[in-house]
Amino acid sequence: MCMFGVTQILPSTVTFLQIIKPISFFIMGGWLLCYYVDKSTPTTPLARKNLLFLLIVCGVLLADGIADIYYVIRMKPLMSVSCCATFFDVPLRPSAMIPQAIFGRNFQKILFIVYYVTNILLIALLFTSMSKKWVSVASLPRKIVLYSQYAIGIINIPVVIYTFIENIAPKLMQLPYHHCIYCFMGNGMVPDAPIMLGLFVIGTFAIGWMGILRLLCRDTGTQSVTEKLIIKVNNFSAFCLLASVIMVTIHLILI
Amino acid sequence: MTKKFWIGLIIVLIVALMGVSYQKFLKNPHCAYDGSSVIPIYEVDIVLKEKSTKKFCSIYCAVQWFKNNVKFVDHVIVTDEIRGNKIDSYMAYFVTSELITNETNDSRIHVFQQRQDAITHTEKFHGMMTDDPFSLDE
Repeated sequence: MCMFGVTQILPSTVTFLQIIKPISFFIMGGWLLCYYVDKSTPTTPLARKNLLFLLIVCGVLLADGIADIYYVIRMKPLMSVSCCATFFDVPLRPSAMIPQAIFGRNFQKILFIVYYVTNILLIALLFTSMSKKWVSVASLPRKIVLYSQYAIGIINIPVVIYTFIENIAPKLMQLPYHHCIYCFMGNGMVPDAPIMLGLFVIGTFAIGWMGILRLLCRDTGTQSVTEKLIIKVNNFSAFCLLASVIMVTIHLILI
Repeated sequence: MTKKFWIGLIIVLIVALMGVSYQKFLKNPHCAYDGSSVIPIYEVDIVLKEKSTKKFCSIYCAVQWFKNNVKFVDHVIVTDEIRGNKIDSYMAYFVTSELITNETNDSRIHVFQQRQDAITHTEKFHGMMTDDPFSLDE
């Protein structure tokens, strides 16, 4: 059974798991950063906030764990499931229909351009807040840059997912008609594919983690620690997104 | 930008180059008939009776080699163009169409695991279904 086949055993449970797992990773990362800020301050001023946040994290992780156990228990051996080609390679696949509805018939080319535009823009915005002049920037332009980072970061998620499914995965696997992201990730045709996607996921999550830090750790006695950590996370995010784009580009040029 | 940032980027660059090299030079073997690089989607494997395998870049090359060495052949494995699955040639659907798979030898034979894929390709590229060129019938 291929990786996609595993997702077809209990489709609704797997859909839930595929949504909740990145959420778990995201909020767990956010909590760990808040915890780090709190621990770096002798008076631990964020203890109450962190405890409440931890309750939410535990709730999500519990739901994730229960769904995992439910899936394993309900899974029956010798179940026959559909192949990835019957889902990813049909003309009416969602990954083609949605971009086609937005960009028209030549959606694949446009999607590819949008992929580079949004990523480069996002990296540029992250680099802006990395510069030394950033500290002296006035409040309004600062806010515009920060909110633009969040907005483009969110827009970038579906753009990257659809571009990977429609353009990058088939090209890199050298299977021009096969749009399966699971095969791309797991069948070893592109050995560094998990690194490319992993860097994108961490880079995008890091933008969200900066948002969590700004939201929960700003108005307390932890300002300086938070600021330093935000700069580190910002640099890390810029690095991860840039690295992901560089890896994809090298593969597309050289393959 | 810090030194760590640049070191990280160099590492990523090296990883990407290693990935490409693996795909191009290690994973993709060379054709046993004309020596060209074997693209996974069109790979043909001829398994010999002595259990070794010969890899070919296209149906054309594989057929040329097969004609001269039929007595040594145990079975032939072809690759489904859609999913990249490897299947026994007697289970596959072969289509000759206007679409070229290998420009160097003008190979136009395409392989599909599912009949529907073969029919779709036939309609799209003005092709016709053909028999298994690796038939081992006496």
